[in-house]
Amino acid sequence: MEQNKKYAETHSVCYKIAGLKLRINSDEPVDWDCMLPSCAPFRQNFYDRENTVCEINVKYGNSREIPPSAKLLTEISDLFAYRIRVLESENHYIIARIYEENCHSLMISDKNFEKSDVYLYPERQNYRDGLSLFLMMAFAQTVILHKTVLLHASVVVKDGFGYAFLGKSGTGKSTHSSLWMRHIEGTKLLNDDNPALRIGDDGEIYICGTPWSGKTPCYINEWVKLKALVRLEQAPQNRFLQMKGANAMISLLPSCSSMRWNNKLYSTLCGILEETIQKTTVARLECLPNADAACLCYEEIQRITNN
Amino acid sequence: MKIKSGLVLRRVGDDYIIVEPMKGVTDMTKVFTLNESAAWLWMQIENTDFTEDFAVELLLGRYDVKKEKALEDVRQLIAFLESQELLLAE
Repeated sequence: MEQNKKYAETHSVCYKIAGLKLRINSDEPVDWDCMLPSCAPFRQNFYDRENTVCEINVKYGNSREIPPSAKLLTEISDLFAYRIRVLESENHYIIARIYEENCHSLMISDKNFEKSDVYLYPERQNYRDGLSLFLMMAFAQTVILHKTVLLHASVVVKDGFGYAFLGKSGTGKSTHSSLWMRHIEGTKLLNDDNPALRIGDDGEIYICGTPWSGKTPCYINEWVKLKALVRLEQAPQNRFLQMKGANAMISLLPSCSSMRWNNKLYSTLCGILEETIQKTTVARLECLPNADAACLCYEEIQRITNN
Repeated sequence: MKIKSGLVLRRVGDDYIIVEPMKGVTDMTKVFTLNESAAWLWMQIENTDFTEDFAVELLLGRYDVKKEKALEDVRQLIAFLESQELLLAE
């Protein structure tokens, strides 16, 4: 019995992120907290695995080629300068992590990303780094079907409420969060890159920490009510503008992780944003990287939400 | 003519919008806004095969406008839908 439990725990693990369960199975024994350290705070009791929304099977060494009929959708680069190729075949999405034209790891997922097979090639360098990214990519898609969206944002918490800062890479999202922490008392970081926004069963909008936080190791398993979503833009002066309707939608859409090729997922995502816009404050902050920007942002949000 | 399938008219705040993700390699999404009467007309004609005359009749039945004005508005909307490739190619 004890032996079986041990086997099960090294071959399978369950994480609960934004209240949604992600399960990983491996065909070889794994020390999960070593393999996926940023997921450790989200680990669940192994036997609590009902209602898993996302399941991933990890396979080692089995070489699996990209089906030649698969169509290339896009190519992006990840944190480690690998190329990430997204392809589509008739029944699957295929995500390949490539370095110098060699595929270092591969994920093949169904169209809703509910079940995925990940192939890791141990003879290739840094093959493990791909796993966390694959988890994020699969989880980000499938959670859309559960009223949840992974945002590209930095999030701080003040007085029990979350404030999410959005913007293009290099705009200064992390910098803006740091400014809040330095100049607005009682502010702390919840996540610095990929928090999850979730519409709770009570209809309220929550923002949740995740195991993905970019270059900042901040993996907090916590939820708070979301107070505002602020899109940052660098500017020669500080100016805060509340966004409504179509402008609010345009402010949020570019920061959502979504497969725009999948009509069902994309349309569901838009529905979640529609509800989010009704229920929370959306704004644009033209800003300098200074204390005034943080204070202006905080004060303006309080003014809007107290009315 | 028909509106492309998969496009959803949404109400956000006071605005009516249609979000169309681009399927190309670049990550781009188009967001169109419609005024209230255009949005109403969209709801009547989506999922149907409609003609210019049919759309004009719809507008006349709903709004207190002259036929010439309704025709002008319908032509303007159709031209917009065509230019943005929101109609199914014949």
